[in-house]
Amino acid sequence: MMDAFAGRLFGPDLPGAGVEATARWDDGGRLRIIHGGGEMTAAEPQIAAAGFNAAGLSLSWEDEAGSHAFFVETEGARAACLAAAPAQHAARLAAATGQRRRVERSFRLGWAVLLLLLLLPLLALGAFFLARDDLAGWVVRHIPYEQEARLGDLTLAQTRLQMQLAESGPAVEAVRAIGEPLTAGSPHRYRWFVADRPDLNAFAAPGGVVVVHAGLLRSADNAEEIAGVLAHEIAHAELRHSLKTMVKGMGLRALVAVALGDFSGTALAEAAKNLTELGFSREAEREADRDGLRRLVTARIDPAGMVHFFEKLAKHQGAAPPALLSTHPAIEERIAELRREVADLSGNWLPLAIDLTAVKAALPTP
Amino acid sequence: MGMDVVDYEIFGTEMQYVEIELDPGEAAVGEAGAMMYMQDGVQMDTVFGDGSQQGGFFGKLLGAGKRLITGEGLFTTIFHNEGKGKRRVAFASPYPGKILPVKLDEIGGTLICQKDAFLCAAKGVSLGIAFQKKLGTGLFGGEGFIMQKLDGDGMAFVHAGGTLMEKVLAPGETLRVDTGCVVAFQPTVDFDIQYVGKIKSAIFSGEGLFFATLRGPGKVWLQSLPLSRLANRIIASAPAAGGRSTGEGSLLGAGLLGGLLGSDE
Repeated sequence: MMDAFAGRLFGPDLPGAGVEATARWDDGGRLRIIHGGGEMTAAEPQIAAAGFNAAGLSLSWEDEAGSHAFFVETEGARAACLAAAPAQHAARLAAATGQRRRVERSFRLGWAVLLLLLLLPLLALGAFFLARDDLAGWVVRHIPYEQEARLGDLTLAQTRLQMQLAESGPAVEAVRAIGEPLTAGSPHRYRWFVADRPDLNAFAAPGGVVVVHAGLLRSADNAEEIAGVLAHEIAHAELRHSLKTMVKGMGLRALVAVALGDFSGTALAEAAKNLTELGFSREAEREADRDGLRRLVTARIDPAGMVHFFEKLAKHQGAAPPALLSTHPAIEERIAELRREVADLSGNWLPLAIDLTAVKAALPTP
Repeated sequence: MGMDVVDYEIFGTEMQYVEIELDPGEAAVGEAGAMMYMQDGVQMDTVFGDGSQQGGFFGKLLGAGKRLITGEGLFTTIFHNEGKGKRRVAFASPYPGKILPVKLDEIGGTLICQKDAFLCAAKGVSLGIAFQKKLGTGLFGGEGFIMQKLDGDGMAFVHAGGTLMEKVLAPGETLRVDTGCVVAFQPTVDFDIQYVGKIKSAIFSGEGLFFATLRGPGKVWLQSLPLSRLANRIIASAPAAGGRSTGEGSLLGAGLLGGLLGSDE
């Protein structure tokens, strides 16, 4: 006597919803079913995965009365049925099990794909955050210098609306004389300007546009200090920092829009963009400090001027924070780092032949 | 697990409600908001989940989470008779159709039904979800990927739209059904889809690309009017939603004149 397994029997003379029954395989490989109303034998039952989600096992056969089916639902009964099944049914039982597994597998796969689709924008956002510097660098490498120069022209036009820019005169000549040696080997065509502004500031627009505020020239004690600031700004231009910031900002905005399904450009996207700009700037400033220092050394200009001027800026910060340092909270840290690096350097620096007094005299009176 | 045996009576023809008689101490579980009236002595108790879980907090949380997936509330309401004699509580079906009473023990203890179909049941019937795992059926079968599973051996009541059709499928017998018309079936029934066969039919017959197919053995219940179809027609003819009140059949009314003039505003 082999193990019996429970199931539900359907047939022409039975209630439509089936009746509870038990079955077992007999020695001849036939299926014997016992239910409340009697007993049945199926010599050659058809075996298939059946029912909702193909989760059950259907053993069906035909006789004179009509079609019958014995339906195995529970896991235990299924296992008992498989264990006791005669060899001639093994292949079809395995096929039925395989069919059920395929349904399960495709279902799980479907869920995984769905989950992935839902998470994709977030994953992309995360990946972007992690690799934003590399990505921006990659994009920026593919922007030709002519385009960057055009962007510089646009920035220059914008700047002209806000301030008076001198393109010639002793001050501009002095700035050019100090700056040109620092731009050795640059693909940019540098343009130098002096803005009629009293504050301590200088900035570099993309494509080699360098603007120095008159206030900065006025407060400089020697030409080396001006050289230090110019080296820093030229480093920004050479490292294409403004382009990278722009690319990152645009990319992030687009990604946030996709992730949130919001294409109107909301406050959240703006906030996120500003966040990266800030995170970018600190690293970029440090990079510009290092590169600027290298440029000074290559041009054999005394880098102590750079440190001095930064100290001057830091002192100034108490009263009215100069724009040059507005996003640089770690100015002391930067100065300390610069001082450390400068201390290691030694060399016979070439003095800059600039008559700073004459330059200051030529500046328009504030 | 002893199920509460309930006597019931269904009232109405097309917009029905079911009145359940509770012996002292007996209880019924109702879908939130389905209760229509209850007599003195029936206490209402709102529980997290479906009231059948015994497995502590996490069991209840899981049960409630599953209910949320099927589009129902996190809570179910249990109505129990704290009185001395028999008391009655009634649950009304939320849209035109029929209420289907099912004795779960007669069909093997489990009923798969479309989500939202559940109305009420004897306490102890567990309301679970049954994922439709055949991707094609989930996408095109009209019932989605999430169906409801009622387990237990007591009475359960589900409601269907329009007229209810109960059919017994013999082993291997197949019924092709318009998608959306399947209300409930025994788990021995194979629910699948079948391509309509001809591209012309697929595009112009109005039946869509696929039929739902139900293959026996077992009992299936179909509804003649899925709520979504009714809702579509109502929206299509609601003036507020840009529809037109044509086809009223009156010569003088909006039917002919309004139709001829093309506008009823």
